[in-house]
Amino acid sequence: MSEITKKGTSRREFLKNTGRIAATSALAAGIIPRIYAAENNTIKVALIGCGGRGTGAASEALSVKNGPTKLVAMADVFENRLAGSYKGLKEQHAEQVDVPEDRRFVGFDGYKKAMDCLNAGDVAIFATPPAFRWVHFTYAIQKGINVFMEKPITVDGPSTRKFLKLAEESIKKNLKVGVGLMVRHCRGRQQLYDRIKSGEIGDIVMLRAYRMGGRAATTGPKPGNRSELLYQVQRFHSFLWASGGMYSDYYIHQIDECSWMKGVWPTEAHAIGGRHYRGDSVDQNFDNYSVEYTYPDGTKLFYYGRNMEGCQGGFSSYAHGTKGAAVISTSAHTPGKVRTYKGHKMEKADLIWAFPQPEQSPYQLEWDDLIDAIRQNKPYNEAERGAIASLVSSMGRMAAHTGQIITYDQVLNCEQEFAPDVDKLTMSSPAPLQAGPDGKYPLPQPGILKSREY
Amino acid sequence: MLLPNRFRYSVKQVCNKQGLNLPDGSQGLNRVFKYVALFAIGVSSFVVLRRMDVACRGSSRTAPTPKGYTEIVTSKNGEKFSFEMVAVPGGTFVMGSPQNEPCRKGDEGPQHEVRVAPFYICTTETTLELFLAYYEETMSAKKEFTAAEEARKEAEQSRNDVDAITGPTPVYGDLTMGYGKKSPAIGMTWHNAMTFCRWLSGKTGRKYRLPTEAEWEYTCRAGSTGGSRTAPTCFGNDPNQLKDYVWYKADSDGGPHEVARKKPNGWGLYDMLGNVREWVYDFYSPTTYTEIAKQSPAVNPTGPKSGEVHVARGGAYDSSIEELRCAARAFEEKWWRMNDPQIPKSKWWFPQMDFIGFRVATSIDPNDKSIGNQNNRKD
Repeated sequence: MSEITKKGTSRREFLKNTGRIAATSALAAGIIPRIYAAENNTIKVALIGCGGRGTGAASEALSVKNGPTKLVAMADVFENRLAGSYKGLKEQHAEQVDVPEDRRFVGFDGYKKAMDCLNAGDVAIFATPPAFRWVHFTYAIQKGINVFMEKPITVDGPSTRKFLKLAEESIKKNLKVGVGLMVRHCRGRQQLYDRIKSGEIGDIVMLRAYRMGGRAATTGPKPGNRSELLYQVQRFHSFLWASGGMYSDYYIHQIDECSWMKGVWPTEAHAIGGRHYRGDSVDQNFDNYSVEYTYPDGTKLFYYGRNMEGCQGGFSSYAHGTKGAAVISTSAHTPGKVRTYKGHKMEKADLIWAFPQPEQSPYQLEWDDLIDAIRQNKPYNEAERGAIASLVSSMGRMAAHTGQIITYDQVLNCEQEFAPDVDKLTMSSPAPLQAGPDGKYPLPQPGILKSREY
Repeated sequence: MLLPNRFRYSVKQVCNKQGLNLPDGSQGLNRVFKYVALFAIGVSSFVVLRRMDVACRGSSRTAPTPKGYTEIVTSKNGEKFSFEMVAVPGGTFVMGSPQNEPCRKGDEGPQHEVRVAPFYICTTETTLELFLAYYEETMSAKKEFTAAEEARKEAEQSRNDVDAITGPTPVYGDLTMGYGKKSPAIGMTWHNAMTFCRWLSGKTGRKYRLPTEAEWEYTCRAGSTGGSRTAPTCFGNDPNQLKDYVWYKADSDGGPHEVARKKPNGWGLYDMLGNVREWVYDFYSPTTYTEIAKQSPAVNPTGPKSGEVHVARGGAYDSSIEELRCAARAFEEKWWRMNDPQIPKSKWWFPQMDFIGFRVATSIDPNDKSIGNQNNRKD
């Protein structure tokens, strides 16, 4: 990888300078005070879902260099998560965190109260479990509020159908909507996309991606004195209704980035998977998935996911074309270290191009881009794309869980909605997933349940 | 001066200084080099001991130093991993860099005398395969619903009970970052490296720990004196041999490499400079040496009593030569967490930071209270 030249800039200097450069170019473009807002140009932010990722996203919202932002409201169903998040943000961004106790809302209706603290044109962050996205998005559209929402944004066919309609409405209202598929904002991937499109590696004939690491998304039985609903919300990766499961949450990035490079969404999926070492865990996930996605031209994306210690690890994506190959992700999402090669062995001697290192954080870039779009009133709406990325993730998962080939239309029109009444939940509601007569949560049964995942 | 012009020129470029005055090679380096050559012939175990013996003349010597040993760790599923521990003789050395050293930074001085007791140190950086064994046996997700609270309490009561150690939270993605089993373990926080040492101590019955910053520099210098420019202190008289010893910016291909694939330094230690930075025990302070220089010599110093971040020594695969000096100091920086999208940031991992690792040490004197019990230190 010596092709990744550092060009004399140390990573430290680079990162120090990044913010300064962004600020300079924003100033040069003269965009800061001109477009946004009447009496002052501060964009207000509300954080809905105060876990680790939501708190991280809020921190990035407060770190943009293209004009002032301020956190004014927070909501979560767990008081302790909200308190921890507030503390963490206050420590890092004291001046920009203005969330007195009466703007911290605990409960399933907290999202409304938090968005009521914003004005049209401000930004709400949705970082609750994905099940609640369509509920929260409905309210944001009603209020004219811009949104940054974490991925995935739907968990099954029916929630995707709802979301696609909402996406249309949000475009009509000129809302700016960012979806946390941050790789789309990675400058290296953007250049790679252009290079692939220009034919640098020929026509893509195959893609492959790996997400292989240790045990994950397991959960033990509910502690006796606990609300089952809150237990499932907290352990959302374990339950399909809440998150789409580990499959959707973990694999969506690479399914999305591969399909982006291919230039089209897959139309069907054929998959296998199983639970080898789940032990006493009561989650609904498999611990290995092997998926063949098919694109309209018949080419394939092979996706391999495994969560077992002691096995070969891997967290990378590749495209193979008629004239060469490309690395889309080297290890995890960032730094991407994208590069292209003349051959499929991807040897150093065959290198065509590599994006120079070091790279900026795409988690920050996706915020810089969203705030820039809001301030400059550029068209910017990732809701539809995010919904389809979520849907094709569900398509592969459903193929593995049912043991059937699942087409795009089948998953989109699937009747099973994991949690249809998620908009009506209160602290005392029963959990959307109930244990069977044996006291265990239902699991996928490939070949037995063919049109439902459990 | 024995440095060819080409090398001088590149150093000059990096340092952007005129009139470089690179220090001369130290005494005894011809002998070191001879033994390095012997090593290449393949008489390894015999040579390591002889080389130690020869290379140490010149630094003050104390009691006879015991031989090194091979440690063998058996994982729960029966896999065996081994690594070599070299006995480092006790002695006194001058720590830090002289004021006229090219590319020197202020925190490397003042130079001061340090006396260190004999200790063992691993010839290599801790490998991924061994670190994976630790991860697999201790990772916290395994214990999350097997009476996690009890496990934690037990761990506090008996820190050497290897089964009671609650290790790292699941890493985001792939711990190996795509590197091979013999590559150095990477991306762990200091706390994580310390927890590994506790685990290793429980597995082996020997009290493993991180080397102190003084021990690390003493080992890196391998008995040589004078400036801390890489070439004259570690690699014989010919600085063109840098690439024979060090994975660094110019030859690393942008990532760490398998441990011990280049030549060892005078005391048989591989990759002390380059490849990955190595955690040491000490907290970082820019004024550590100002304080410690008040004692002369300082005896087994362990750094400031408190601090925010810890020291990581030796530079890495992405270092340019100014960082590849025995005296150069680095420390944990905020941007090491930039790929962690969560707040609070992980206590265990720096996601995708493949330049930070560590090697283990252990005291020879089992009664050494000064540094032998540091695994209990809170971070």
